[in-house]
Amino acid sequence: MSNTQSTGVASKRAYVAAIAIILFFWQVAAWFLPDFLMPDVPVALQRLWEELNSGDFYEGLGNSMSRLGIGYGAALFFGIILGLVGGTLDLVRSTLKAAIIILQSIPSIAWVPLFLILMGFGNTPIIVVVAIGAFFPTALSVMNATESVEKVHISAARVMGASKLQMLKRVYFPAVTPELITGAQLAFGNAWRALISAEMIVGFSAGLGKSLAYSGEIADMTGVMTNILVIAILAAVIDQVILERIKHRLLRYQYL
Amino acid sequence: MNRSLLTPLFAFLLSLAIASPATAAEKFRVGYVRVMDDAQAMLAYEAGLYEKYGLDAELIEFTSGTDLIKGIVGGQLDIGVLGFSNAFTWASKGADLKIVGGAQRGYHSLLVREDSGIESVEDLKGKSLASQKQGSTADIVLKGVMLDNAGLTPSDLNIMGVAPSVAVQSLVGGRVDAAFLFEPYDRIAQLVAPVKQIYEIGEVWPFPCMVVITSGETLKNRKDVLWAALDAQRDAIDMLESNPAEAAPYITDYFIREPVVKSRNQGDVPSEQVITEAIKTNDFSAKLTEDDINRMKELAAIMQEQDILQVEGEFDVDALLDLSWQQAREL
Repeated sequence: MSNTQSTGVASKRAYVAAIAIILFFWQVAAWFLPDFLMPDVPVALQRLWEELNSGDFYEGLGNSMSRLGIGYGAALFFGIILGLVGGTLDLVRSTLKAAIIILQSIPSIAWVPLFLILMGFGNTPIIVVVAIGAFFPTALSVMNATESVEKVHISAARVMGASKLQMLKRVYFPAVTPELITGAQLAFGNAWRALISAEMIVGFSAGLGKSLAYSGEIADMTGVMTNILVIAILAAVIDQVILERIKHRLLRYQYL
Repeated sequence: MNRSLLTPLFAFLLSLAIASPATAAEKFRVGYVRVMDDAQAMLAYEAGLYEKYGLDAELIEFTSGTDLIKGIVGGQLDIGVLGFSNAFTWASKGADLKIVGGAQRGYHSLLVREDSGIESVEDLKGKSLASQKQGSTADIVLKGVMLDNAGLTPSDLNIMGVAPSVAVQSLVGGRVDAAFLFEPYDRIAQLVAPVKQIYEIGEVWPFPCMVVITSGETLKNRKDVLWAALDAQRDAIDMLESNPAEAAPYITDYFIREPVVKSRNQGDVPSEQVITEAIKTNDFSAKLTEDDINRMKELAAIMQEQDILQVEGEFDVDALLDLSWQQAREL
């Protein structure tokens, strides 16, 4: 337990150091480039503060977060189900795996033009693109983990008369959890990038990606850097605070 | 080898490098967007007009004017043919830009699906409209002129900012009720989908949409080369205006890959004919007139209202203009 805690602190320290280094290089670049191309760090931080006090910012943030939540949630749900099915049923495994490997090579953003026409403008194409981005790493990690569940554990549970539900709950789920979490964290990165790029392309209602694209359109480089800052910070916060916390909770369950 | 020997050798090589362009054609980089508004640049290149004026031009494509201007600001381009609103926003932030000539007067039409029940701009209320990216020239005139004149605000309808080809597809597929388009997408959409044009901003509110933009540095250091490019583009404009059918074959490939466009009720229409008609609907001009400049000032005020142009007081349009070429050519 103390070990996980110290790792948490070390990782937070690493984040602080990383942020300091990134901001330093940004500032160095700003010293050499004209203001209209690269604003100083304090200027962007000042703008960030103004943004944090404006209603528009929260509207965009809310839109982006709900698209992310629905898309990522759906990807986890279907990814886990399909991963378990593929991992336990020999019949579908290799075909499913091949299909996933083929499909995951397509950048999720490549689907945007098609989805725009098929699903119309609105939240749906963005959510689907986010879901596609997150689905494959989730399904693949669950499938790999299910495949590698020790045969002896399965046999032992069967001998002891475990029902199908018990098998799933007591044998498969604890065994796949660590890989599932890794997959889910990987999936989050994909989902986040897909969300921002899709919002940048689809000119539909406020969002972090749209706000970034708009700043670029009107030569507002301070706006561009501020948006990039928000996107980077949020991703780190979600990953470190929410996902890491869930990971610790779920893994603790495994050792109980 | 010591330094005293290297220096004259280096100086000799350098003088060779500097002297050689005098005999060869001047390298010149032109940025363009694949829209009819930029036909002069494509035609000048394809018809060998840049070569005629001693330029070894390279045509570099951008997906939008807002991306193109970054090429000029970053020094990767010598000139670009694009909307002047882009120059306004960047100049207001401190970028050294100059508007040195005209290109085309704004053509943007409102196409509506025949089954949408939209007969006028006012009817757009509550409907969905595919337009271009927020902050682009098209978006500024759409909101600041077309909607404003009809007494509508952007929030009265659902505006989607997309690429023109996506706008056409959305209109054809019935995903939107209307689209705000320029050529040749306007003509193509009318041929392939049940749509009609109910408004064209060039007829109602003519403005110099596309202009030739360069950096202050290029204007200062490569003025002769820049003027040669403007001469070449002026020849191209003459051909576009006086003989669209002669100009069309040079630039058709830029817009339509197939030899014919399969229309909804006119059978197969030759692509070159589609492009010829698209050229005819546009008003190309190498000269920026007093009226044009006044319109630019009006649009600057609209941009200020929309908070796209963030400056105190009136934006100084005149400071951005350098009309020495058109004065020298007595246009």
